Order: sequence, then structure tokens, then C-alpha cells
Amino acid sequence: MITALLVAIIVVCFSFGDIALTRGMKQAGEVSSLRLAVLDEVGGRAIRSPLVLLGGALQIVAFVTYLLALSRRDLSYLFPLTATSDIVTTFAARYLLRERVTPTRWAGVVIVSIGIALISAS
Amino acid sequence: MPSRRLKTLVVLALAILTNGAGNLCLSYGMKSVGAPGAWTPPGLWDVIGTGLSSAPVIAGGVLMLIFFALFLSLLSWADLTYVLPMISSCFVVSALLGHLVLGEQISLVRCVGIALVSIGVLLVGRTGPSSDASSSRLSGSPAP
Repeated sequence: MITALLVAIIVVCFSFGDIALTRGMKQAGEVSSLRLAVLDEVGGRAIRSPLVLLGGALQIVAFVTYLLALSRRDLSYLFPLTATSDIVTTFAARYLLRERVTPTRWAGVVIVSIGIALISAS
Repeated sequence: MPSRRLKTLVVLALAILTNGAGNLCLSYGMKSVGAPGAWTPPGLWDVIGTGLSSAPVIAGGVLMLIFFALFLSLLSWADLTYVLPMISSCFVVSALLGHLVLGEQISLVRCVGIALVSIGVLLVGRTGPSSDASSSRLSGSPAP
């Protein structure tokens, strides 16, 4: 039961962390070139963006919770569950970020997630 | 927008290589640090302390920070639903590096997983990196 709760926290924090990071970075502006001035400008806006900070914090919470869950369960038991976070993220990005997820992209996301589950389960 | 597509692929490749090298350093470094004697705060603190004084672990951490910066850069123009599955190539690269450099065994199930991730990445790669670019590409409208 506690493991299930930890897994839920991991999946939600990873997914919504990524959503927040994406929205924050879109607001910070495109990294249009590798010139130092551009990196400094976009990087500066990113570090001060509440959404990027929130996203980073959620990722840290997810990672620490993941380590906690690992201390209770074997890695191969946990990873198929956390691999579903990509699918949750895709759903969330479709509705919250209004990204166009074509059938080809959906197929790719699902196949990649199954692959990750197999790699981590063995 | 072919130039943006190329830029996306170059930054993706850099991110995946950085992640692979970072994982390799962390894995190599942490193996010599050893598993925690106990999963208690003092036991974990011991491992963290030893880890942070090991050069491969520090190098791995720096590489992971660079990876995160590249990941954020990608998100500044590309779709999350594009970047996330593409970044999963990290699993393939890490598994191959683990096999080639650290001599780790790759089981049959893991081989199938690597093949599936590769197929999925190729599929997602066929869609454009960002929604606006991919819609104009799919409708076949010539760029102004």
C-alpha cells in the first residue's frame, strides 16, 4: 500500500514537473543560438521563472521519493510502474500544453514505454 | 523548418551522449563507493559523503547537470511529447555503454526492450519536433 502511494507520488511529480518545466521554458524563450549572450539571457529568465523552479522542485521530490521506494522494493518491481509516467505525461501535455499528439507519436510513446519497462524489469 | 529539425537532432544527440557518459561515470564511481551498509539516515549519509569525494562521481554529477541544461534548452522550442520519448534513447546508450565499458551482461529481455525503444524513437522522430512545425510539414504547405 505504501509502495503504491510512493509510486503514485513519483509518477505525478515527474509528469507535472516536466509539464511545468516545458511551459516555463517556452515562456523563457527559445535558445536560438549557442552565443553566450543568448544563453545568458534565456538562462537568466529560466532561473527566475516560477514554473521552471516549480518543475525542478517537483523533479527533486520525484527523485527522492524514487530513492525511498527503492529502499523498500526491488528496482525491477518499481520501474515498469514509473515507465508509465511517460504515458501520463503525454496525456497531460496534450490537454495542459495543447501539444498535437499524432497517432504516429502516440504509437512511438507507447512502444518506447514498453521497451523501458522491459529494459528495467530484467 | 529543416534548420530547426537539424538543431533539435544535434542537441538531442549531445544530451543523450552526455547522459550516457554521466551514467557511466556515476555507475563506475558508485560501485567503488559501495552499497550503503544500512538504509538508515547515517548509512545513507556515509555513502553520499564518500560519493561526493570521488572524482568519477563528481564528473558524473557535472555531466548530468549539463544534460539537464540541454534538456531544458530542447524544451524551449520543442514539444515535451517529442523530447521525452526521444530522450529515452538514453536507456539504449547507457545499456550499450554498460556492456562495452563496464562489461555488464545484456539479457534477452533487455535486448527486446532496447529494440522496442529504438523502434519507438524512430516513430516519434518521424513527427516534427514542435506542433506548429509538424502541422505545416504534414499539410505540405511550402515554407514562405
